[in-house]
Amino acid sequence: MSLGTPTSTRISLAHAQLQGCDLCEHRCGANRLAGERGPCKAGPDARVFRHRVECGEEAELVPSHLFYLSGCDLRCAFCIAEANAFDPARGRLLTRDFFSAAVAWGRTQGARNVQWVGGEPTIHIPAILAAMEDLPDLPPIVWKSDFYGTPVAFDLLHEVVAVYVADFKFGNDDCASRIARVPDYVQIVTRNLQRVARESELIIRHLLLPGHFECCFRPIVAWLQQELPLVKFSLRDGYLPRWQASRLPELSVPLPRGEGLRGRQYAIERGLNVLD
Amino acid sequence: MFSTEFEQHATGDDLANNQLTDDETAMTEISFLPDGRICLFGASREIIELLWTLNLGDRALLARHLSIQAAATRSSVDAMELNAMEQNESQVPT
Repeated sequence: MSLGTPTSTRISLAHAQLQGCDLCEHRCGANRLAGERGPCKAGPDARVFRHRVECGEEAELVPSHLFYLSGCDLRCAFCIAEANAFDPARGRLLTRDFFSAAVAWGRTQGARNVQWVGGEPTIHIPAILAAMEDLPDLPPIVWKSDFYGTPVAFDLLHEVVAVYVADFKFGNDDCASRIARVPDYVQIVTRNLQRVARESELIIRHLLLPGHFECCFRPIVAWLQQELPLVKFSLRDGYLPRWQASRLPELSVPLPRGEGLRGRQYAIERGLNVLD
Repeated sequence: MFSTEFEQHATGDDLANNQLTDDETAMTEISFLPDGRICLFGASREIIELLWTLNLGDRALLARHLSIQAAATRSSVDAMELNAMEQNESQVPT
């Protein structure tokens, strides 16, 4: 099997998850085929609310062909994808024909890879693997994720994904619970980061949030310094108060000027491999 | 002038392309903050190249500009190699 091409066995295993979903750490067990819905509200189908070739991703990935899937297991108040991220009924049905044609188009635009983003692609692993089945000359697969998936989810992606881009959003469980409404965030995300760092290429991304330098950014840097000091670290400073950010006072403003540079210097001084 | 290309029956290619050519979600979002910072979301190649011409001195922009140039070079080399292979194949006697 070449990297990126899911086998029929793997697709069957993924499909079985739809009858008792444990793809994300909510572990709701919903029978999505029978109409049950978990916190992500996703059914068996995946929908693409946007796809385009982008050049604002990490430099080593661009030009990258991003497929945005609606539906997410987190509920981040500041989500830039806004309603599209949280309503899995939005967008065009992901089918093999559509995906194949879109990939061919992306190739003509110079895309170096296909990148699955969301929302959160993890909740749509069955549909994604099915869309990629037996596609010839599939570009390298990039998986941009919140890393709140279960070990089962990462098993299904193993040797299919070439590069993971992990969004390490919060440095403590209180902020994760308050802003994204998920429990046990740090333990789950760090567990998954450790695993993927051993198995695949990994970029860890962090979006600096206003008012969260001490509680989130510093602990993330400290953990990386201790556990994954060589991993590629992509620090983002383009926070804007979108979606429902206004319900949280500290998130209702843009990142203060100079905070990006301050964060970058802080991470570099601690030896992290910070990407441009 | 109206284009008539979308009046044809949808094919797989159309499904892929219409989303890009006929849909506002394919646009780059640019936000100008009051203090002069520029935030991009979903930056296209053209936007990166446009901003590059402004000499903003931004490291992130430089890195992405270089990646775009490298990808373009790779594509043209690949196309030349493919062309050469096709010419060679056409010269093989049957």
